[in-house]
Amino acid sequence: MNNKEKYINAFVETFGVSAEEVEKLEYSQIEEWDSVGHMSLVAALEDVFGIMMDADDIIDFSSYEKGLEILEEKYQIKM
Amino acid sequence: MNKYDNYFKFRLATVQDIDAIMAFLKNEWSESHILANDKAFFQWQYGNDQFGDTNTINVVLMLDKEEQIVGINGFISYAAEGQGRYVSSAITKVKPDLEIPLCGVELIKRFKQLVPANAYYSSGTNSKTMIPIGERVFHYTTGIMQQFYILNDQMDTYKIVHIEHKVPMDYEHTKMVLELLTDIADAEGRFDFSKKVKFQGYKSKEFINKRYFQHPIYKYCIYGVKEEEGEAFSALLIGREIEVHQRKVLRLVDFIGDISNLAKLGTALHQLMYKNQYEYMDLMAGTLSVELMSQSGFVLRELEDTNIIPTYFEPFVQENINIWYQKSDPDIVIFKADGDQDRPNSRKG
Repeated sequence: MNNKEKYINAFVETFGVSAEEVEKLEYSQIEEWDSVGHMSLVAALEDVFGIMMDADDIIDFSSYEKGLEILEEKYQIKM
Repeated sequence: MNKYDNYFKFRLATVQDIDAIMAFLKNEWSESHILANDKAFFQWQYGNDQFGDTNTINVVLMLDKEEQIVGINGFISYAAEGQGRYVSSAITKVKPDLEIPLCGVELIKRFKQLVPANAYYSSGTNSKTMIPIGERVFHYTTGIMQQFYILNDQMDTYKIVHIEHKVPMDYEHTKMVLELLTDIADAEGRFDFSKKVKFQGYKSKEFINKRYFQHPIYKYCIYGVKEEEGEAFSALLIGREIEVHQRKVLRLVDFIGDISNLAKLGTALHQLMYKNQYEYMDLMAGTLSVELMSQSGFVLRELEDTNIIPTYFEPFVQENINIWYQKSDPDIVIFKADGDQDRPNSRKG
């Protein structure tokens, strides 16, 4: 799996959505992505990429797109 | 400054905010919550009179552009700001219908900015909502509070606990004694209130006096721990008697002083238990050495234990209930009263 696939898979595994649904997802758009689900997503991403995200980045991570941007720019994970 | 500043203002509350905070608690938390209904108790819990500050209230407010409260983070401060402060979060609540995501997490972040402290810790943390945030966002150490107990082996039957399997009753005999204190003045000159103790957040004399000697509803049993022949107290042990089904228990809710003293209290605690006919004594901590506690005769209730040692008494629930803790300093030992756990639910206490 490349990094992009790992990223998508974290959403799929955490929220139980299909890979096709992931790209348009935003925080609280689906019931599963609430504050508790958000922490589970962060945990999954931290585990899969071996990173520890800053508090501000966790709070700023408001959508699939925003998450991609944060991981690429702040954590140098090439997608 | 970040995007939240475009929508909200964060600041410490003052006495002028109390009515609005209580109304917020009533609407967003629970209509019957003591802190939403009993203003005198609210002021006692969150006021800072003991530190000579009659204006500031220990609540961080999140206000919208109309200056309406949309979130609160109440906290307990164990010392004044200049004394090397340690702080426990007591209540965190944000309105559920805010359009901006993760406002609760931002509120906790702002709380830490507005209330700098050596460490943040509390017992009674919500395991579903707050523990994941503590772990992931703030990298706190989290876990389930240990519950240690000493069962009264002179009783034939038990009405509060439910015992399925026998537990060891032995302990090391020592000459440490417990002296009951009725006023903070009883400890003056005998306990060093300024001493900072390893593995504990510092609790000032002003805090101890207010929290335990001057509690408006609960009556605490505050004991000085000392050598039989000595005068000086090496620690303070705080408990609270509870009576259910015509039986009494002693819940030990705080310990201030060198933790190693807890291993030397077996004789004194057993004498106290027999004298006052306690069905059992318990002490919750996050976390203590099981070996150290066993020297005083304490047994650890296991997570899946068939022995039931109740934790909730208002109302009484005869179940084992796990209480979570979180702490920013992994070495600090938390006791049950740290935070908002040992609080009455009503004036009746």
